[in-house]
Amino acid sequence: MIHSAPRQGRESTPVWQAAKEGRLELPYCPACGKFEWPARRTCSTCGGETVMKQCAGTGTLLTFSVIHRAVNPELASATPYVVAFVVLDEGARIFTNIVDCDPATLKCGQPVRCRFEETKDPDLWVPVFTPA
Amino acid sequence: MTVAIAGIGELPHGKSVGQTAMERHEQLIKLALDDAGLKLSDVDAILTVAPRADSYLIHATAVAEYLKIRPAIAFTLEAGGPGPMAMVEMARGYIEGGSAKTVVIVAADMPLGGLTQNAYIHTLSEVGPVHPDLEVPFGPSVPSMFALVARHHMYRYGLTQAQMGAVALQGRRGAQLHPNAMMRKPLTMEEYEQSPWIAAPLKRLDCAPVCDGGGAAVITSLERAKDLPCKPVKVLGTGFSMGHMHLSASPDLTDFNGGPSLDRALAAAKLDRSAIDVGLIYDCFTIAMLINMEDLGLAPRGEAGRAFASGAFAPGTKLPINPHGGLLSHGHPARGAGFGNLVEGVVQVRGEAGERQVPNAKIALAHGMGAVFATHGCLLLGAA
Ligand SMILES: [Zn+2]
Repeated sequence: MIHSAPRQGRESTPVWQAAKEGRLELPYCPACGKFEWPARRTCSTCGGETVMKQCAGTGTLLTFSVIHRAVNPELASATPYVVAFVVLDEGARIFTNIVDCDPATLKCGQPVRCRFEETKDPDLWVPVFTPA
Repeated sequence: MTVAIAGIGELPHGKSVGQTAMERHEQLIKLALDDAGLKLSDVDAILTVAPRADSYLIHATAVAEYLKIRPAIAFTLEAGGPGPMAMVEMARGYIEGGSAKTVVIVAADMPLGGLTQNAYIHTLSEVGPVHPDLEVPFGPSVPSMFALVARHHMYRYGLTQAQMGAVALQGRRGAQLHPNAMMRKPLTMEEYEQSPWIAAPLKRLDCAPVCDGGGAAVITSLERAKDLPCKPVKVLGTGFSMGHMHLSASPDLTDFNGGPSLDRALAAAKLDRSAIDVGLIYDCFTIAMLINMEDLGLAPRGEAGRAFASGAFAPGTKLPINPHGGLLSHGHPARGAGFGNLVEGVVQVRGEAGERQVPNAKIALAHGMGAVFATHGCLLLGAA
């Protein structure tokens, strides 16, 4: 599928920039030991600055939906595609796509692994997951 | 609480032809004022929800201008599905605080006759339940966000497809007895099962159809309502709560902090859950009904699906739910969604629901939910 280009210059940009370089990085508060998703520059608990922390890219499929009717006309030809929440081994829960799979065989709780896909903005890539 | 709903207005839900959203607002307001025995010149406050079909930034002022009135208060509210409940709460504040005597509240939209259904659904999918920067690139739809919750409930509690189907079927049976309902054809479990996937595990018949519609109501003091040629319904209690905005920010995927909204309304009314004779619960999707019933504490956690399938909330039971068909079959008038629950609460308490009347309905709960389980509003209505 073709991912629409994320808007630039916002809290999410560092996530996409790291993804382009092949790293899964998420905002993390070292003081609280917590990730922030949705991403933000300051910690939602203590207000301190977050840092971008690299994750291994392995995790578990928490829940997923197989989209048969896309609302974005550009994605109509990509159906059926899968949106999901994945819990990373480091503890963060993120929204993503599950790709390279038969959606009928997916199961909640199964292990998944991260890879990266390009968006319509050549500078920004997004992390997606495949069955591990 | 010292305010009453003195009048209500509702029109048949469906696709309108040749009508503007502003004309629909006018019609609904005039119906509600007629029902209350009041005139446009009595209105000193008007509250609206901005419809997607019109693009006014101060919509309430545009409506007042169209009606050729100059109320002291003309404010537009943004509260999602609990909007009608929130407008009642604001009206109560104005009336009890002395800022207004006659408050008109209205929420209506024209996703079919005004703008296209696809344009409406596309907008919805990118304005709230998913993060505009972080999550839109993954192509989510609104049904898919509810589907994530449904799949999680299946995994965690054993919810089944047929249990979600039971919600759709019960709503349809109610709507068949409602002249304003959009979906009135009989529905079987076989038809439900054959319904195409929209965002698995949600099928088309798990999703409330958007329609042109909405409603209006007139709020005034209980004391004054008793002198009007109307059948006032008392606002016994109001309560609101919220959990998150983006679904991904919710710490739990089946528990969304809806319960406090009903706790607060019951505390204000000095009642407990067993006092509720009929529940009008926000069901933009079948899974929304089930989660909301559990979140509000009207079904045990994890059990709402089994309860619905066994007919525990059907007409004739201790707690009949959505005799009007809910958003699923009465219809989902976009930004006017949730008003149907308020109107049905009033109609039931007045004893005017005809064939779908819940016998001896003294206390009705009208509930609204915003975004993907983000916000909740509860009104408890009773005979004045
Ligand atoms: Zn912190």
